[in-house]
Amino acid sequence: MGEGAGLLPLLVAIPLLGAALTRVPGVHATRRAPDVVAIAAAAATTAIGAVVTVRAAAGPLVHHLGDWGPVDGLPVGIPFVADPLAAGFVTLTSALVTAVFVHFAAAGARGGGLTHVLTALLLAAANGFLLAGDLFTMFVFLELMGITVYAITAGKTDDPAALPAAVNMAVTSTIGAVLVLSGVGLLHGRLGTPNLAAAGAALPEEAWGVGLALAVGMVVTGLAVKAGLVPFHFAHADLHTATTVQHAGLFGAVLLPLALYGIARIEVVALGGGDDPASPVALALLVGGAVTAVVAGIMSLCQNHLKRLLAFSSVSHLGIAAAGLGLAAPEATAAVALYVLGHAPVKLGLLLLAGLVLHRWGHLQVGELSGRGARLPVVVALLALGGLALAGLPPSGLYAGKAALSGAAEDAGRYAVVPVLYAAAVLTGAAALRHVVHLVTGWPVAADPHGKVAEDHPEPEDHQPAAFVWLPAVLIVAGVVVPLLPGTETSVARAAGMFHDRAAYVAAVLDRAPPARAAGPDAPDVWGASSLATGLLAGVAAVLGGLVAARWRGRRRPGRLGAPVRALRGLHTAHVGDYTAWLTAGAAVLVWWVVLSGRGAG
Amino acid sequence: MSAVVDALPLLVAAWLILAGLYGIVATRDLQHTVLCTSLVHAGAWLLLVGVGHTEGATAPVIDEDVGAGAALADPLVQALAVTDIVVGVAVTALLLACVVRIKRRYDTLDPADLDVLRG
Repeated sequence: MGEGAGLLPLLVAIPLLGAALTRVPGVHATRRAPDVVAIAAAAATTAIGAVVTVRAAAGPLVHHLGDWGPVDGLPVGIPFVADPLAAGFVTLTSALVTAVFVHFAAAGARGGGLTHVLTALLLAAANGFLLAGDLFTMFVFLELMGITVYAITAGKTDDPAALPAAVNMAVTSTIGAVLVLSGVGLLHGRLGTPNLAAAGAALPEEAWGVGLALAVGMVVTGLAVKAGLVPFHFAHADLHTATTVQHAGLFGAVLLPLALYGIARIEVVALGGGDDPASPVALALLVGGAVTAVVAGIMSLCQNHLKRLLAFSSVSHLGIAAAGLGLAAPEATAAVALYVLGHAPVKLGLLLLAGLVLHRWGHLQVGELSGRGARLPVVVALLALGGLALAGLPPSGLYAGKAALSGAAEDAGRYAVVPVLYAAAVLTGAAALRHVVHLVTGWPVAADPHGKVAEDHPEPEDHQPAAFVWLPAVLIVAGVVVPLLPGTETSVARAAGMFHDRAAYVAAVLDRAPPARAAGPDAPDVWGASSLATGLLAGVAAVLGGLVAARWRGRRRPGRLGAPVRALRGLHTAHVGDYTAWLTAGAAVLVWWVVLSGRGAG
Repeated sequence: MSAVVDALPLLVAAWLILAGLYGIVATRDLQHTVLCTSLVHAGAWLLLVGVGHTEGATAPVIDEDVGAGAALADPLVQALAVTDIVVGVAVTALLLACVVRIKRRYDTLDPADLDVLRG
């Protein structure tokens, strides 16, 4: 149990209360009060999340809602469980939502009055998903998140791409949800409980049999759809392109990794495959993640539109995180946690910078922006810093995460993963740095017949709230210095160790005697000379890649070499039928992979 | 015979889901897309209720006529289905609102004509 378990429901209740309060007539009618209420609610959630993270270091905190605790070791009610990883993720999400609310306050954005409500709801749902101790509750919060995401995007009426992107996302994501739901139902039918801990105890150790494997495959595939692994990434990339910069930042920074967290939690607690690199789920994550990282990295480098570039960059970095989780070891989980911690603030900061660019110049197409960098040197500097961070230049959090991930991959004997990780990072870094080069040099941008982003161009404004600069600056710098803070590496290592400690989780949820604490992994050593050299090399490669890509004008007649890339780009049609066809094919492959792999055959 | 009866809801559910998916892939009208999304949802509900059903079980309401020891259908999957019906209604309403606004803005309902994002 542990001290502080009573705080867990507050992490969902306070954002919900904040969402409701912004619409109270007395608050809603005034200009500033909704901003104040929203910021206060998100900041309070962040503070409580931090307290819970510290308290959970002694062991998982469990709160049974309505005091419906387990009876004779069998779960009856709905538990909220916080181990340091879940609580840390809650704190990160809440902190980023607080930053978004501060940005809304500076922008004076009211979004028809619903932006605050939906964003606060999104926070409540995300926190609920992270804390939920059973599959049913996870599903409910996942759907609540989904609906707020569609509504936020559909409500952005000033962007011509927003409505179609919201429809595509709602349809494909709903299919993902149906997969999760059907899988949960089948799993419940087989095991008699949706509780993660109890399901883990009821699941056979060896072969699952076809029925169970089908259920597991559906749950994992549904969550992979929500996480945006290739080929489920189409609607995500469009959505991040079309929605507001603040939300695109939030989605890329925390919402995509959130679904991965769900897969990892289920894999560790319910399926018991957390330390088994040969488990079907781990292999699916490894291969799917590596493919996603490279494909989305290439797509990112092709983009002339700053927001679409960052959208694909988010998907690519998610792929790196997924590949890391696919290594199925506490060391790898620690590395992924460090990676997400470094990526999240940088990505939100970069998207807020894109918002500033749009605000001042009315454009996000690099062709329109080329050579204008001298007028806003601070934007150029921050964009360059963010691009270098994405490429994994030391000491950024992405560097530390990738260095630790390389170490874990080598320990696991999966050497092929390492170059994939670095290639993806260099591609996304070069994509951002290419825009920086154009901004500074004014080199002409070749026309891009394969890409299109319909957009309205707002009138450029000279008025510039200070928060439009300092907020992204703080976020990007935070992502760069996070591994330098004392204790970061040891904390994530300990959190990952407890995340993988299945026995402790089960004992805490089912009120059993706590077992002896499993020893966590050692803190990753990311400051070795070879790691630093590789990181520096990645940074240099990204700069060179950015320069070359900016100088590249294309050939008058398309060459054979570019044909695969053109074919890849041709698949991104923003057509809901095409996306659903890809989703169905990908889901079929993934589900059958789980069924046909060793565990399903028995 | 019993095996067929047990498997029937699951088979119909799979049929509904696949038919809905085919509709979404093939249609040229967004209203149809929304309906097919509902169809996919309906397949999931049927699957859940099918999972919770056992031969000879009655509704999970305990009173004087039905003792606590009686064979009852699984109430949890029914709760799941009810929850998802609510989600389905919300998604359908949101999608239909989007479709209305897409028609107003672009004067088309064919997803192939909505050329807003590419590459």
